[in-house]
Amino acid sequence: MYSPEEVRFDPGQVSEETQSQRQGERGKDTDRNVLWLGPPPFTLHKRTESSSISLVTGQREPDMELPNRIVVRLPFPPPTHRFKLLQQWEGELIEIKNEECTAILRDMSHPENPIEEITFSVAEISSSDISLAVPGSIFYLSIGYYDRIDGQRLRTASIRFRRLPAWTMSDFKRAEEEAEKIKGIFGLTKEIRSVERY
Amino acid sequence: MKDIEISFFGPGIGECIVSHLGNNQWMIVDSCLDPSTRAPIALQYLNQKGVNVATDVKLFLISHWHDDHISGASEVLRACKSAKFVCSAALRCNEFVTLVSRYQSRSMMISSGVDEFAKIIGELESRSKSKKVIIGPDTWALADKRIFFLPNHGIEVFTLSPSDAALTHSFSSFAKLIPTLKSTKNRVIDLYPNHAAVCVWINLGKDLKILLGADLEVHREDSFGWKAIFTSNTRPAGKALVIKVPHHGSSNSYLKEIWTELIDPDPIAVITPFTKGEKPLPTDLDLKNIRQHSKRTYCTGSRTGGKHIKRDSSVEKTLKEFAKSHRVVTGKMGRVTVTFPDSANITGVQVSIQDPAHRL
Amino acid sequence: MPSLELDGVSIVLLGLFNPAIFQPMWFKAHGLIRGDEAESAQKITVISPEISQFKIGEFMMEVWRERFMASTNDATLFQPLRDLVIGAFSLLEHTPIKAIGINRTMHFSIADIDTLNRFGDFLAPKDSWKELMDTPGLAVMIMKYPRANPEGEINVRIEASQKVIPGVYFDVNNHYELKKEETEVEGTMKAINVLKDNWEPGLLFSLKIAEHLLGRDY
Repeated sequence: MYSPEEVRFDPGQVSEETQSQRQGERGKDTDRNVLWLGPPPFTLHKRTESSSISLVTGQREPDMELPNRIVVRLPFPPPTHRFKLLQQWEGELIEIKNEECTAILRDMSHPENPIEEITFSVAEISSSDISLAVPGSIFYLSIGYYDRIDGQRLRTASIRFRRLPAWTMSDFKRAEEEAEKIKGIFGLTKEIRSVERY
Repeated sequence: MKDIEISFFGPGIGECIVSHLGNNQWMIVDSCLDPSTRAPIALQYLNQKGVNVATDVKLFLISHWHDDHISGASEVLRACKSAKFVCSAALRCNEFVTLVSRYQSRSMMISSGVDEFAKIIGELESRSKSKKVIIGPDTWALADKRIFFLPNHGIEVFTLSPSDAALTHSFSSFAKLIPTLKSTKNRVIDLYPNHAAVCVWINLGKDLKILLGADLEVHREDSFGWKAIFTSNTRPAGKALVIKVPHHGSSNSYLKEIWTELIDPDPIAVITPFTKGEKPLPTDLDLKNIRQHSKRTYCTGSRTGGKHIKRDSSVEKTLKEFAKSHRVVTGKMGRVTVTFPDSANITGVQVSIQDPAHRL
Repeated sequence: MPSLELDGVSIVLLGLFNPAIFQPMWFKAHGLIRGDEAESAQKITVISPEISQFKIGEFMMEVWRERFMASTNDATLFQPLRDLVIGAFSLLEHTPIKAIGINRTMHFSIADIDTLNRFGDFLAPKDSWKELMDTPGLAVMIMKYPRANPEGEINVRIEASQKVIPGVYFDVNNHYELKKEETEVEGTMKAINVLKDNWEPGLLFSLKIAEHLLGRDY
């Protein structure tokens, strides 16, 4: 017994692999309690199970009421590579000059180690991250072995800049409460002298 | 304890000065962490000497606002319950308040650059709650202002900066650091030159004077920096026998007139190194300037940073290929201690050093 | 000392979520991931009001109505994973979150099967069992450790690794309860504060647990 319930998907959001796989299985009575996708526009079907005979008592089992939607959690695609981490630092860029970056490093693998400083070429920064590279920006520097899916091992250093959402009006509004407290402590509550800009 | 003692600490980033002014009156200027214990060096040192920091530290002053210069300051403030807290009047403005509040309030910043100052504010808030009255900094440092006075013991402490012009300039400098809408969240960078820096002058008795130069620099305008101090006719009189050389001995902070007019002809000069950045300080040229005025010059730490960290050979090899240069910035904590038997006997001065501090 | 061969981290949030919001382009639009990562994430598995499941680069995300999970098996991305979750929920500040788990899964290689068996005997001595059965073996061990401040618990699961053979698998779950009576906004901010304050110590402690046990004599 089928009770179709349509839920619209954007076909473009489903991988070709999944689509073809599902189209091949369409009409095939696969495992029980499986949510499966038909051809676009995709539909979701609910199955109810007919009575079955108990192997223990020999009696008919009452009809099983199945949940409305039972979702198969599809496995994630396997990793494309493995990275064996040997050492990692958190860095703060302090200067960019003449295509060279100077940064302070804090050892994350061994936090007891002292602060270090490094200079490296701007070319080491990926094109996706280069716009983030300004004094005060934070990045992660990782050194280790990169094991490709074909078995090739490479020794590598990689940089990735930290990404946080940009400053929003919500951030500023929340800060106002903190600011009032500090103004109270500083005795500034009645003074308005500001060159704030948004 | 009768001796007058001034101890200078500086491991490469940050510095701290711990002074016994006489009669169990202690003063702390700035704060840094001992790299090996991660504890504030001022508290560590005073605990080793058996000083009751809760009662005997009378004055705690921070000359700077950025994290890198005042690590552990909030912990010092918490422990030194009887100490008057002093900071630059340049911080008492809407712009600085906005800066700190934005970076602290739920901004998700880990290591914002103003974390320590935010913790200091937290400590001041705790003090307010316990005393049921709002307590801010006890004193706002300004040029030529006496901030501590014990007439019976001949102890006077003055702040020589910031000047009025520097005050005004600082407000707009802080405004430039305030994050704007839709800008990326990054760590607050330090301001150079630091117009908000607080220089301290200490009178101990009639003859003993000490100048702690902080990070103050020389500006082309007379109303800023060291020129403002030199040209002031309301500053305390006399010549300092002991000087904490300003801004790590850099040429940006060198003004000959300060050395000839405010400093004794045969002073004891102490430099705290700055090992971060393209140009570690002091340079050889900087030292040349200083040594023409002082034959007794000391440095609290290594000028080239700390010992190389030995790592896995793959890591070392990769780092060598990746980086154009790499070094350890903070070294072991060294100390230079200048001791006088008492404020009246300045000829009996002794200087002791703890490795890697050294005489230059 | 056995070598750490595979390492993974996941952040699990329990609360009320709208899975349909969580799409690669949403993360890209807010600058939380690289542009090219978002482009390559076109091959997603499913996005619906019930569940959103996709992979962005080496970040894996699975969002149900009452559960959010973000994970990675790339050790260079542990910190960026935290930043990603902090970033997402700072934007979705009104999401009610009642609990957060910071989990680390580790596969260590062991010298040989005998050593593996000895490790199993060290964790769970078999003498009493051998009185009843011939060759008892430890399949799974779970240790719990309640934590008072912040409130929650640590659960450590140990079993033979299915991916590194012979090897041992550790799954350390650092669970944090966020107070139920808190407002929605507080719930989100508390979760973010847990990630800010407990991330590094939590991951280091997870590794320490494994290394401590594997480093013993057995």
